[in-house]
Amino acid sequence: MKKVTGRYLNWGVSVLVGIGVFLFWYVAYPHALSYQEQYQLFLWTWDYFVERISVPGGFADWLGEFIVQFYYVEWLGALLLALISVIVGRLAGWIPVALLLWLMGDPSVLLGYTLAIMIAMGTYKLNKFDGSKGLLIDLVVVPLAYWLVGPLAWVYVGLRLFRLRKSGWILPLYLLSLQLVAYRFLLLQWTLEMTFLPALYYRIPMMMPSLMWIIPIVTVIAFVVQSQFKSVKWLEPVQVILALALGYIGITTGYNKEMYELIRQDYLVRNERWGEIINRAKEYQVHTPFSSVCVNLALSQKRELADRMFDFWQSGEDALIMPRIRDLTSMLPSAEAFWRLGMVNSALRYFFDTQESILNGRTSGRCTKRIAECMIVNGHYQTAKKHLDLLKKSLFYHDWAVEAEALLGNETAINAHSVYGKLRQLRYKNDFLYSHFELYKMFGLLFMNNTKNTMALDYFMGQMLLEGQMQGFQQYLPAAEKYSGYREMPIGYQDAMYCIQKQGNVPDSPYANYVKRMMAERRKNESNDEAH
Amino acid sequence: MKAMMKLTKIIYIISCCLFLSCSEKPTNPTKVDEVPNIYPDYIGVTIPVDIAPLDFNDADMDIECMDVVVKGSKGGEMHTNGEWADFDIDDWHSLTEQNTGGELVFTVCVKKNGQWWQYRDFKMYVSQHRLDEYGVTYRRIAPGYEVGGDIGIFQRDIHSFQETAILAECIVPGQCMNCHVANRTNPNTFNMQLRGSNGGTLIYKDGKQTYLTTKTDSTIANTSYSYWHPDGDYCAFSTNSIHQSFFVGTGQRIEVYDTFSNVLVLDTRTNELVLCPLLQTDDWETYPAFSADGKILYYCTAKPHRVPAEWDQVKYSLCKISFDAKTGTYGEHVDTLLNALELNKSFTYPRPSYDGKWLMYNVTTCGNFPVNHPEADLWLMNLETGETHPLTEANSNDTESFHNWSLNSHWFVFSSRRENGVYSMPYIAYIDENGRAGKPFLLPQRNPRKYYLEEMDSYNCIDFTSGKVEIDAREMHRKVFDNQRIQVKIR
Repeated sequence: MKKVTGRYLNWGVSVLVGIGVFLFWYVAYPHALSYQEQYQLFLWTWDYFVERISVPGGFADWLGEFIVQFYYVEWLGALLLALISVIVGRLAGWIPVALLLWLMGDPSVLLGYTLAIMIAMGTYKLNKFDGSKGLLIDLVVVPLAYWLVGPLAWVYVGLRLFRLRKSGWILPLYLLSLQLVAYRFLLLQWTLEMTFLPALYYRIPMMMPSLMWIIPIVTVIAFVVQSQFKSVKWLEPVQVILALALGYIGITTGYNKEMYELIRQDYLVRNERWGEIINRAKEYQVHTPFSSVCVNLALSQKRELADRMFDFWQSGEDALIMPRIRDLTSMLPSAEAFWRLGMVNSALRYFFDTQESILNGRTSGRCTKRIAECMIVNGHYQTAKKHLDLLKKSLFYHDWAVEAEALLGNETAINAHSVYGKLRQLRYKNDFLYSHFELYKMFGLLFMNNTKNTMALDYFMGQMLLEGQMQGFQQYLPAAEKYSGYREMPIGYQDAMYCIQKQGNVPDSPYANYVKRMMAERRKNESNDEAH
Repeated sequence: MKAMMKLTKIIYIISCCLFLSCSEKPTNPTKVDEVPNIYPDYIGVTIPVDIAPLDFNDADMDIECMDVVVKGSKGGEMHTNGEWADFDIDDWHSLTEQNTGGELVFTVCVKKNGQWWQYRDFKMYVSQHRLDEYGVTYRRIAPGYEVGGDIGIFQRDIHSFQETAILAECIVPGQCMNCHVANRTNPNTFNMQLRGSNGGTLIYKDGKQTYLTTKTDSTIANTSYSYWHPDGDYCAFSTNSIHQSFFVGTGQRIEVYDTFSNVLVLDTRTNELVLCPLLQTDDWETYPAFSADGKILYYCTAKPHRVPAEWDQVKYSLCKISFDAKTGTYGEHVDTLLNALELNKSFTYPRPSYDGKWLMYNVTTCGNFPVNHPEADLWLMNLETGETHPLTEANSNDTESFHNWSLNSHWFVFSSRRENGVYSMPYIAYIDENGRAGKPFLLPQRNPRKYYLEEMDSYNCIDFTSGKVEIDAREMHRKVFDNQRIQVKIR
């Protein structure tokens, strides 16, 4: 009876964990799934598989990428994560699941890590042999496990050591020898840390968090404790309570609110959910240039930028387009803005550099797609084909790539294309060098190039306001009225004009507040500079 | 290592047996009076003995089978049959050896839509001049803008298809690695620049790694472009403030320019910089290169302009100054070999041949970074007569750059963007006694179409290496992140 109750309890917990994890990712953090998916491009090729498994731990890495590709469909990604959590829970207990959920709050952690622990545990469960037969099997299994999951094979060895007791003393030495042999003869471009720690499963290998080596230890200890006290009836409830507590702590501390809000904004930009960006920003906006760029882009797509720009927090001169920053996220909203403005080369540059900023050397499906699109618009069909060929080897970008490939060289079709044709009309007709320091002039020239480019006009006027180019703003206001298509002068422009006339003395004026804040920041910076 | 190669070969042969679906012989082929459309275009190229097999594919993706018979004008024959022309390395080497100074005639049959077609035969020419270098070194980098990404310095055995990393990004993460510059293809003497928070100049001599900080109070920046003195004690550098700007149009993507630059020489024995007022002027001196005998230092120089606004006004002349390695002193006057203002061109990246006969350089309309200029071509100067001519056979409508010589000065390697305008790809070409280049060939690969079409990196700073570079990458990691640098001094 007790056994049956225990089994039901265990299954009940499994179902609850499964549902909980599914809802967590699908409802609360779909943007985290999108984030992971966009920084890898899983290729369905033998070469890709061989390349991945050519290093210890590469199989788990490959499997992780295989699963992450399904994050493209959010519910499927959440479902797979729920399944993985349940499998890990049933193999290793719920405490490691809670810790893994905590760890996954760090967006640089790759799914391969969780899978490596799962495979190590699964391998342990499969090898039921003890004694000399078990040891003989381990002679084969340990190198195999090492090759499949890398340094996380220590989880397997740790558990086997517990099971075989004294007779298993050779296993740690065996694994250590394997690692040393790999270090000496195979992994000549790997450091000792990379060889012995699971850094392969972290996108910025040199900054691997300590939780990534704590979890395997806890997993082994938790499993040993469970095995030792199997008959103790309070063990399961205590484990569940501990897991819940750890899960709670993990979710509240491991998922940085501001960072995930920015990731969400980028996700909404990627999916062109402009209304949601604006509505969320009304409630909560992170005070960073990244957030300003997202909100302003959303406003521009709703044609509300001129009216409402300064109703939202603006970071400064970089609030419409951020300067280049070497990381894998910061430039994305600006790149999307460039793309929609018709500044195709600048979009290409930002997407390319974002792609190259992925420190584990993976390809981004999202960036590759945009890069190919930029090349199509620019008429660089051979290089576009190179990128499309890559996308054609993926699952979720394949159909799009095939359709895009059919356009290559077909000028008529491209010119008639709703997006590419329009961008060809909007882009610069003359060639000159981009200047980030003269951004408003860049927008102005773009607008002059095609006066139907109202987004360029909105950005031109907006950038002048951000930079405090009052004279320019007043000078071009009639043109803005003439070409913008607004029935009356936008409220934001009225407010700015009123501020200019009243020399900033307009209580509750959004623009006046922005100018005051900028002046205060400038004074503060100047005094800091003087102090230094 | 040999056992490993043998094992690889066995695995390869088994894989071929397992995976190559096509093995039938041509039956009643219809003759076509045109040469086959092959990738890469190896038709009429001049190749050295013992080069890796020049495998090729049919440029048409839809063929069912390819059958190739190669006959040597001096004897020998080989045959391959499969999805592409994939020659056995040893057989290929034997055939080229047997036909030194002769020709290889290729008969290509292709099966398409169930029908065999036989194309007109084409030839490759086997030079009597060998190319005995181990291979080539290069940096592989995505042709991006301001972020290097997953870059690495690699070497490739040109007699087989084996590529190995000299320094991969994963061992010095986040550090930008610049050109690996060897002294006359010597694998044991080279330098390399590292940029970023742990930047520095690596001098590698006979197994010893020395890391330097090369900016001093008397010089304007860390060192950049370099060239070794043949005796291996001195190395010439330029110090540049390098910037780049980006075009908004659909042609050239990037313009790289300096806002100042000078040339100097480093004595690697004492880590002292040897300066010369004639090379430290307000003009922009860059791209130093020693002559084969080490007595002359070539360099490029331009009048300063307001860049980036006047980027198209910046034109570099090619100059020279004498250098005495015994005393470590420069000559007292500068000779201008090619005057940019008179000729209205920019002359950069001089590379003297090691036999002292030629000087190869880039010609562009402006600027100092030819790799980004679609019009960049290779030219040759006869150092005895001063006569110049373009290497027409090697040039294309797109960029040629990053050239350098083999030790016997009968081969040169360079990168070209002729294929798609963005990706620099590695080419090798023969050059005869009169300075005429043969048709260049793309660095051979086992399955070239698959390799190059899937390759997402550019090859730059490509050079020959006479032996395999054996630097300890882990020592490099330690020293790079130790951040201990020797501060160079001014002599």
